[in-house]
Amino acid sequence: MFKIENICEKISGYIAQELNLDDDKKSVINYGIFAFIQMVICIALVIIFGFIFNVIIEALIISFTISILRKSSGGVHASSPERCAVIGTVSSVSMALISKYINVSFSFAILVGIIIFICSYYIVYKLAPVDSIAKPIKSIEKRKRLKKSSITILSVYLTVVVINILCYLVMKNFSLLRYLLCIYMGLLWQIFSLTKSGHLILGKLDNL
Amino acid sequence: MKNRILMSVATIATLLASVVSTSACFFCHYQPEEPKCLREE
Repeated sequence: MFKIENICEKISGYIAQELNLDDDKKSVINYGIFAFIQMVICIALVIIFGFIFNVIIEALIISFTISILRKSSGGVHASSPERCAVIGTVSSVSMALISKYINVSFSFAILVGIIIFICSYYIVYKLAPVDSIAKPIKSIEKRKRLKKSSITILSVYLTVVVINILCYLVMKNFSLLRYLLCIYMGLLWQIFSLTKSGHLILGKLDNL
Repeated sequence: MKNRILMSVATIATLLASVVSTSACFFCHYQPEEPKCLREE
């Protein structure tokens, strides 16, 4: 069966053999190649299905909102790279479809935004970074640094949202409200994945 | 020439692995086991 790990193992094995590298260096190269391939596959799937359902920009906004915050805040993980690709694509595209076909008023978008950002700051401050068994974070310094960068990323999102709102007020372009909703949904998904309920529900999704 | 290409791939992969090791997790919803030499003790 087609397995991403096997392909990475073969590539890193070949590189290590040709360059006479030891096992440690081989495992680091394998890890790097896996990170790259997994990232490319996830983005490509979001682009393909986003294109099919005509929500490519929305799906990419959601996907990047989740992933950028995820890198410093951590969160629940799938049990295999294939399941990860499926969960990531389905969640991004379905949330993009919701944002496309839902009609929200400007005041509703502002109200929802305030609630989401207050919850996000609170949950990130309380829980981030959420580590995993495969990559435990033991150092207190590193935990502090990751928490700080999670809060910084949240603040960048808030700035983007405020700029988006100001642009909407000037241009009255409804697409801007849609992009706002995409950021909200991506943020909600990532924040939810930090909580215990998120671990429980996403864990069940992973077992389907 | 072949060795140069392989060396470049190895360097980029190592760089990427170090970037991932300094963050909380991978870009996606899957986290493979981190290599021992990158793990913090």
